[in-house]
Amino acid sequence: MTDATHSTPVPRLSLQDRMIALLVRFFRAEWSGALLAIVILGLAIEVATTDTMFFRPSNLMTILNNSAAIGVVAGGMTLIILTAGIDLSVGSVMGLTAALTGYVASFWGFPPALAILTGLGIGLAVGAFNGTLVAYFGMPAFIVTLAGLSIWRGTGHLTTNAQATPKLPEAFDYFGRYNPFAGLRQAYRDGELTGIWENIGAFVDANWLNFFRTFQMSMLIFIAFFLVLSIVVANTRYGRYVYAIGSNEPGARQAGINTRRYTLMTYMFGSFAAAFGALLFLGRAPYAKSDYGQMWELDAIAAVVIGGTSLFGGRGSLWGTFMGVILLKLINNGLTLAQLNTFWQMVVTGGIILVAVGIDIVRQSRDPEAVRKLLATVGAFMAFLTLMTPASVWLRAKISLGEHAAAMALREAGDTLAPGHTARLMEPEAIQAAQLAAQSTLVGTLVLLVLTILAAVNIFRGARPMTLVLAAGFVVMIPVVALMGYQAATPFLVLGACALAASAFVFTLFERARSLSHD
Amino acid sequence: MAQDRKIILETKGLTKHYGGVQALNDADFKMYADEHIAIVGDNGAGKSTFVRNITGVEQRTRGEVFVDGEPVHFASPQEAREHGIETVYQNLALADHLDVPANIFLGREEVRFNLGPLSWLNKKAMAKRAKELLDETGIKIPDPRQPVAGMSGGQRQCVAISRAAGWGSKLIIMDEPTAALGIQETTRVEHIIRGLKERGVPVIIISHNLRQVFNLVDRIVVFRQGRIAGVLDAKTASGNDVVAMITGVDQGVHDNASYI
Repeated sequence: MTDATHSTPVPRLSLQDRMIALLVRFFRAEWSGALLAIVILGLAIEVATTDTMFFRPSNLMTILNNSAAIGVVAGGMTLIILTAGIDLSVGSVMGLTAALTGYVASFWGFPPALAILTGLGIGLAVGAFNGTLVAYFGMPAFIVTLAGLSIWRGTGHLTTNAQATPKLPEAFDYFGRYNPFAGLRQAYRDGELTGIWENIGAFVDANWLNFFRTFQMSMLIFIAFFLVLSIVVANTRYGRYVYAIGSNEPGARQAGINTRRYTLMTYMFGSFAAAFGALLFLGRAPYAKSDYGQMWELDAIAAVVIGGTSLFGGRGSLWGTFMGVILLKLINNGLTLAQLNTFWQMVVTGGIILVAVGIDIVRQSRDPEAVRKLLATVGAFMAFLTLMTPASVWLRAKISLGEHAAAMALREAGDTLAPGHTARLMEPEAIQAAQLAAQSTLVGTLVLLVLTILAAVNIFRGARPMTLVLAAGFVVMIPVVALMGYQAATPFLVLGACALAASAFVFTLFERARSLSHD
Repeated sequence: MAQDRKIILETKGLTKHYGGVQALNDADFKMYADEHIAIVGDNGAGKSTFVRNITGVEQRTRGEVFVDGEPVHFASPQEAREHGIETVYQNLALADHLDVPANIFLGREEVRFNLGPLSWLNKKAMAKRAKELLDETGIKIPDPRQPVAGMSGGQRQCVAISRAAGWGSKLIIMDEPTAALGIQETTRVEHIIRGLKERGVPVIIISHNLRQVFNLVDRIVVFRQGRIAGVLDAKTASGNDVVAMITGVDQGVHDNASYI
């Protein structure tokens, strides 16, 4: 092995080594896993789907637009988690501020600017309440914000009677779907432009559908928010103390940092970001209601964790969260294309969190065997996702047939059937359809099940030849799965094959990287 | 002779009681600005209590403390620090995920303009100054831009010491500076402490390692049962003298005693 490396010509070797060094540097960054997953998933979706192109600008901007509101909330959450805290109340705070902002704008006749300031002020006040309890009364953040999760949701429902507002004033669009080029295009179409402006207008109009249509405020605010926040965190005393508190709170206090004040400020900023996220949400929503933002606290935490930020504090970055949010939205999109319903999206999102945290632990351990296991696990997970695409159809058909049979048995036994039982009785056509569905997916399910089991075994005993054969098996399954009519599941197989192929070369890479760093 | 030498730290009748427990009784202590002193004693002898009551971690029951001849009563370690008394704690108090310059400047960052929490950090100046400090103390760290979490115990201790030494401090107190270090690393830290002596920075070391104490300091203050049992000159005293004073037994210490 070593001899072979040495006998290769010098320039080629140095290129390879440079790639390895780059790889090492890349994986030192917390956000490397999330970025990698985005690129791979994007490529896979691009390959798998013929009509929708993933890397089309308008598609990317749509994803950014959809990520904006939750992204801003997750940005605030990042700082809280960096201080080794947690805020479970951001979803409720988002709902409360969204409802109250809409409420005062619709029913109290507040001008939009005042309503917006009210909303942001409420966010700050809630954050001050939570933060004071955490920082000055020494209550655990988990408990305080768990209580807040309930309190602020309830407050939102109580103050607005849980009723939706009428349509919001147009001013709110400036936080969401407003398009800065829309006016220009309209003016061009009306023929009001002259000179250079006319040329620009023509350009915008010509590229409207494939570019400018999705160029909306949501996306711009989202990017600007992260840009400004990351610069502030990287360059100010506040940002540094956030990391210091998360790294070593008693130590930071010994160094003379007023840790309580900075903790309080961080919780205030977290709730402020939730309120700001509410505004971004209202900018795309037709009306305001107090049940907005349910489960957002979990999505925000998921995005932060996927972005490589440690729940123990002190380690992580805002750009990781940025990519974590996009990854979450991307997964949802991909699974929607894969015709899986939202319940599956929840399950898969949870799986992604586990994988992301696994990546982080492994990344820190710098142990090649752990890295290999992780990549093998990713491969197995991908096989499982592919398996579930036909398997969910098969399972559903089998379950409904079974329930039908049980209900029939009850009826024959002479019991009166509850409405739930009656609903489970099927027409003969439906029975036939279910049987057909079960039959047509059975073989594919079984083959994929074998693949998944092999991939699972490979996690624990993965010699290089076996891993490579398995990766080839993934590749072979790609056209098979596509022929079965599950084109949308092929990205999983592509990703799995990549992960497995990479896992086969982990040890070689590590050896080389070690010897490089020793030179 | 004593008249010419500047007294940096003096305590008169320093006493600390925790409820009924007399952790420290009537400690009279004098330290000159040109010497290094070691504080030794058995567990519970009052060494840490003594230091904690000087640096403001705890509030004394009775007695007086003078720094540079002025009576002081520090309410917090920060106040002691503002008076030029730096403490290197046993737990080091480093922020693991920050790099070396950030740790050295933690709590007193250099800023381009002051806006409270939003003060803009002058990273370049801090990196430069940190490098100078490390060079002055003779500390070699391969890449100061890496988080200190990945560094060895010796390197971390060096960062903690240079953090304390870098501020023109009047007095540095080190709590067990080499307790968790290997032989090579201990040598390096001792080298730094000798460097401080050459630069005329007074140091108090709390240590269990008597050999190290004899190597490093001028005078040894022995604590026993909450009192200062005696002060020995490191040049003339023997290990047996110190051990006898620590244990309060005049004889029966054999030459192979492992605590020497």
